[in-house]
Amino acid sequence: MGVINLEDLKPDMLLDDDVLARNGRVLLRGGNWLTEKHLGIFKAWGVTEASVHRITRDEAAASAAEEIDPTILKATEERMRSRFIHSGTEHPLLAELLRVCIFRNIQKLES
Amino acid sequence: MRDIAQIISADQSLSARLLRLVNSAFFWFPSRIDTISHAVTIIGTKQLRDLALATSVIQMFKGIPGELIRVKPFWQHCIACGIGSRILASFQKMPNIESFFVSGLLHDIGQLILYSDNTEQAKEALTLSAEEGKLLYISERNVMGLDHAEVGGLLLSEWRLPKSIEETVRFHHRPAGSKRFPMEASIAHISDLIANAMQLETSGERLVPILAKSAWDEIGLSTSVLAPMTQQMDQQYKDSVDLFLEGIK
Repeated sequence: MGVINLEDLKPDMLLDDDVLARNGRVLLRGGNWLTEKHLGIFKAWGVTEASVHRITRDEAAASAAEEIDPTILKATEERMRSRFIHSGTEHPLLAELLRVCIFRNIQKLES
Repeated sequence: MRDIAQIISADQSLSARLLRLVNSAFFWFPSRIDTISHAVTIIGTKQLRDLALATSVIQMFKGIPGELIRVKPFWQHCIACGIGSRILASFQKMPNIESFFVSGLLHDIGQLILYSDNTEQAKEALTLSAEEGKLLYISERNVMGLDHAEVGGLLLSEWRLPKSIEETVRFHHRPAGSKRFPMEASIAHISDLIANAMQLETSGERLVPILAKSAWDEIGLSTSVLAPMTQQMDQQYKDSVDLFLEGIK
């Protein structure tokens, strides 16, 4: 099991734990299979992550990265990393910030 | 409650800016809000007062000489940081998220004072950062003996703004120093980092500042908030930046 980001959740994944809204209300119990409709509800209620069966955060991130042209990915990553020289990216917050910024920059290039 | 609506309504350009803001992606209200008194009822008195303060401060500094600081990118970064603080506060379910917006917005305001009063030293600090890749607030301390966060704190104390805002600004680079408002200072610290990484313009700093790990622990959120947060920041920034910077070149 692993906790992964909302954007990496897909229909037919098996939920391990209950998903709670920000106000603590249970939106879906663990043991359910996710559907498109659930994902919409999670987003509307401000859910940012969920724990699902047999996939980890790193695997989810890696599979999202697979969809990007490796040359563009590498160039963008290098450019972004140069801004993190003082902060480093060892801390989980900075590692995720770097990852999100790389994706955001690539999306901007595409649009 | 009627008083604040009356005071704001008497200032036409302020009312117009606020009404545009409450009808923007900042709030996503389903129907249009056409009067300040309606806005007060829906958003709240304190909240509207804070937003009025935010738009007025930017207009106040409109004429500052821009030799060392480019005023527009400066405020663009500040607005991004304010928006980020506001979103983090909403994830935290804090009361009055607009006061977080104001604190984030004003976090670098000390630069405007520091760089217009000490031009030569400020130049030296900027050069040091550009040439040696040092963080700007560290160069400021090396050259001038104090940094923009301290100057900002002093300014806001002179202005008699709420202590929470003053402390947030003073401690945004070292949030652990804030004894009374650790959550507020931590939120501004993290939001500044995020706004810098997103490159939503810059107040002079081009690098992501050093993370005070205690700040992220204080906020206690999961890193999974970053993806939706940056999307919301982009959206709110795009929808409000021109409105705040009306008339600023």
